[in-house]
Amino acid sequence: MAEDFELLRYITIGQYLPGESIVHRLDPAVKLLSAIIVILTVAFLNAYLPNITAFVLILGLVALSGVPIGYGLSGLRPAIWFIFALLILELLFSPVKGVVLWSYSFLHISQYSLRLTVTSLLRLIDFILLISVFTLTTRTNDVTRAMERVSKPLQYLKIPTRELALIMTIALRFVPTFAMEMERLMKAQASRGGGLTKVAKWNIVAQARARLPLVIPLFLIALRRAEDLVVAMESRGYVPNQKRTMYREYHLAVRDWVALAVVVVVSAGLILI
Amino acid sequence: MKLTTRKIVITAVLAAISILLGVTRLGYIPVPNVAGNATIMGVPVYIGAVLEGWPVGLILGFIFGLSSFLGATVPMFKDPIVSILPRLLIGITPYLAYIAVRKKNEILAYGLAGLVGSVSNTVFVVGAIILRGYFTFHQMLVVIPQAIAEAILSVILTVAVCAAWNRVQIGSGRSKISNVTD
Amino acid sequence: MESIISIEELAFEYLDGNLVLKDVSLDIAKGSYVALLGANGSGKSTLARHVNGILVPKSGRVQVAGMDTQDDAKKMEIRKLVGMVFQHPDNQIVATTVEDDVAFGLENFNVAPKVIEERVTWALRETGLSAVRKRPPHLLSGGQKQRLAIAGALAMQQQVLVLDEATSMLDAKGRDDVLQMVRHLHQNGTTIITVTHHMEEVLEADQVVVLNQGMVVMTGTPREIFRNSRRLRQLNLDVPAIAQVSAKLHEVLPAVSADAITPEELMTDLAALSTRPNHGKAASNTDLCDDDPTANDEIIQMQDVSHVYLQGTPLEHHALRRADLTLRSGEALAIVGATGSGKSTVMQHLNGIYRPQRGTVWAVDVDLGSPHANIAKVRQEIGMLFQNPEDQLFEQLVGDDVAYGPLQMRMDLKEVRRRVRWALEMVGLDFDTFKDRPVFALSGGEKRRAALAGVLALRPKVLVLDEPTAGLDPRSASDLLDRLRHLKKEEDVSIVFVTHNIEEVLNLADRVIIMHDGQTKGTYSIEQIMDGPSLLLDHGFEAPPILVLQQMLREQGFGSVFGRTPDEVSDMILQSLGLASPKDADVLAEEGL
Repeated sequence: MAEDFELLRYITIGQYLPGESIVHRLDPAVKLLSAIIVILTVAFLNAYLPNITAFVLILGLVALSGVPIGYGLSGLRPAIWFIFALLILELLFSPVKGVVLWSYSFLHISQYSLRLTVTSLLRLIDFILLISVFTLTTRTNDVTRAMERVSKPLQYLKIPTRELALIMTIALRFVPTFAMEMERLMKAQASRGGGLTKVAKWNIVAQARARLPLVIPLFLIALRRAEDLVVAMESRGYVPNQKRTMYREYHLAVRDWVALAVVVVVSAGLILI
Repeated sequence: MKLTTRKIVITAVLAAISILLGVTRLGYIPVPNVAGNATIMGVPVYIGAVLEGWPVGLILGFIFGLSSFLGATVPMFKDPIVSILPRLLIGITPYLAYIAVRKKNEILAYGLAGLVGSVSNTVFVVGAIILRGYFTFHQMLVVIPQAIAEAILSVILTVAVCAAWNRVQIGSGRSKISNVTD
Repeated sequence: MESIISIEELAFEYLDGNLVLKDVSLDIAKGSYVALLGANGSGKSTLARHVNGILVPKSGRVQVAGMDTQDDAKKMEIRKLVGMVFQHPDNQIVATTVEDDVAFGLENFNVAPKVIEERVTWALRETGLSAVRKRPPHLLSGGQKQRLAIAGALAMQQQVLVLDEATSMLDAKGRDDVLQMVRHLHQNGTTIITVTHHMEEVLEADQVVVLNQGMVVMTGTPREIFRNSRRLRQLNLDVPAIAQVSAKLHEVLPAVSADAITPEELMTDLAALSTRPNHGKAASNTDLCDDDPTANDEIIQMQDVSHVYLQGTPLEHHALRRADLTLRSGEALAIVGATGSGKSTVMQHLNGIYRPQRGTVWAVDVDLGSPHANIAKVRQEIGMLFQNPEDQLFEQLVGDDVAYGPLQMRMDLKEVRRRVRWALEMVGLDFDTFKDRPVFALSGGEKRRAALAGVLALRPKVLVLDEPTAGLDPRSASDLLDRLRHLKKEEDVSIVFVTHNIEEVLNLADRVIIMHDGQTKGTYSIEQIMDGPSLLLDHGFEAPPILVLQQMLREQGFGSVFGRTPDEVSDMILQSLGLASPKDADVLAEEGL
């Protein structure tokens, strides 16, 4: 197995797909709120009809956004066999409820397990597509600011939403930086005769042990950087839990209100059918 | 919940590590059974809880849950009740374990926090999977090897990182080569 | 002049009771450019952090524009006035895009969004970052990141800018860009306070303050300060090469002013001397060169290698277009070039971190292009130290970390112990003192040496180093170079090192590879480099003053002056003037201390 040190390859955060579709132009907060509503709705759908309806509607949304469907689902590719195995397990081993459709020794396919398998597959695809559409049509800085705006009402519950959004911003900002740091750690480890590829894939103990010299220094590097960043932020006048303006101004257009209304009505409809 | 700049930044960098371990797959240790990988993505949560308290643990638990939900390729983890909800608690339990024991022995308290964090992650998530009816209790027993691997790694990592960061000596403080003579 | 910062009898200690600042009083005039100079541990960064109230005095007083930093009500007002740029470019950027980061400070001060927009646009234009406005910060170069930090201060229209070793992690080009920016701000009335080890930067200042052990020990203009070159060296500080030469000459030749800091100034003094050089022929250096390729065996050979980074992703780029390299046994080979010229990529091909995508690499008789190459042998015989290796210590105790490599090779524990002892002693860390010391208890310089020991413990034939002295203070840097020279001479270790510091090249290298835009642009002997600054200038480097001076000396008939260090050069000048043996001057100097 060849060694691979190019970790940035895996960092797809902020992979924005430029475009002019209606989905691109919607206010990011409206998109985020809609995504949350739809995800929560779909998570509670059990019957075939609403699940299939939701699936079709989401396919429509993908078409509307101009995101190529293969690109949207690309995250699934490496896990495809695992998912397949899991679905088979679910189909054969789920609790037996309703009419048994097929059985062989201790294996049973019941109405319940068939429905569970089909709906969980649909739900998986639904969510992956929804999340892809949202992240591919929204820039990272708009995403974190949308989180901030959507969670604003939670301030009344004494939840520090602006600070939470800042945490997300800083976290996303540092993921690629830490990836490069990790790259260097892996190269240093390999240079000193160690490394992940040196140990057998299924040797759990060796696999785990090879990770310690990478992960422990990474934590310490991260914490040291945090100390510096605290000083830098305070130098720039940051005080938590205090009123701050927002660089970007957002104004909801008619299309945003319409989109939100459509989402709410469709979700309510899905729950009722 | 009052957050200082320090808590905000430490939460953020630990969240970044959790996300990085997930997207690069470095946080997964392949275990040869149907339940898939053992993961160390929860460790930043336990470390955050020990170093900065339960609010930081709570937020990190939420972010870990969110990234596990967003990145999941397994149907049952694309269910917020399985991937996000139980994770809200896994930063709080290690904090409680840590403060309960830290007066007796700091290192022991780090280890216990790692252990309790990891065990509560397993218990709460598996509980949610069973409650949602994906699998039964007996079927979920296959995750035991994962759970053990995760618990051991969580203890080692939590102790190593917290001790180095707080400059606490671990064990005898003697290197391996000190045990032999020339 | 109106003073903007006034510091009175400032004392400060950290929580551990370590008194870092003892008694500092200082007045900084509005619009001045002040350099704070001092060795590691002198308290200069601590002092800088008092200027915007991040730290507050234990006793004494710090006032900014009349406001006391201990007055909590004035805290925000002071931060609005004073901007800071820190050493590590990455550790001060908060946002996911350049423009959002510039806006961060303005948001904190409740500036209206419309105004933020205008200021951000203006600050990015001023710092030349408009083109990367929407780029995520990890894709910026070090120099761009520091200019981004300056843009943040500009957007706030701050009156004071504090630079805390802000250029120490940058290459020559990045540093020039930042310095130019700072000069521009100073011309427009901003007060500049810079904490630095770099002498060229000190020369930019109009006032220098030297700190030692928490106290101000010298103040004055750069010239006044550099005149005391011996005192500065006592304080573990670096002195510009020409100032070192002129100070040394001044001891023997009072007619030569100790003030000279440029080659031209020193030449004017030397030309006016009554004693003339005793051999008047300008010599060429090339005959000194023993360039006999057959005499040495080649230990690494790299031919026509190219490399594409992150192939098949949106970030794909050609890191290497064509690289050729030969390393001979026992030599020190420098690879120089700007950031992004491909030096690090070349380096990582030498021990098989990267395999050649095209071309061939042979290292210690292993063909690295072959999928069956014996990588373990290559990794053992070619030790590699990456940038900032102090971040790459794997274990909790120094002894365990140095033992990491030998243990990976499943060596007997006794043999491991022997190797660890040897390696630690090679880097100047006492085995018994350091073997059980926790890594976190080491200083920065000690960590770097421990990291080097970890590589040496594999007893490599070749040592490959990426920017070995970057970020170290002058004393640790010269100590490290001494140890590398020793390894090369006494232990027969060949060295390849990547650097952007020409003085380091002159100090250590036998041959030099110049890289530009992903290509190796030729290999030169150190004698060819020293033959005159034109070779470096042709390749787009700045000519080091020490080479410019020697070129001038040879043209003025001072004979064959080819020195690598200021000491060598001043000795050669004195010799060519037929004057007192410089050794005696050294001894006298020692006695004088």
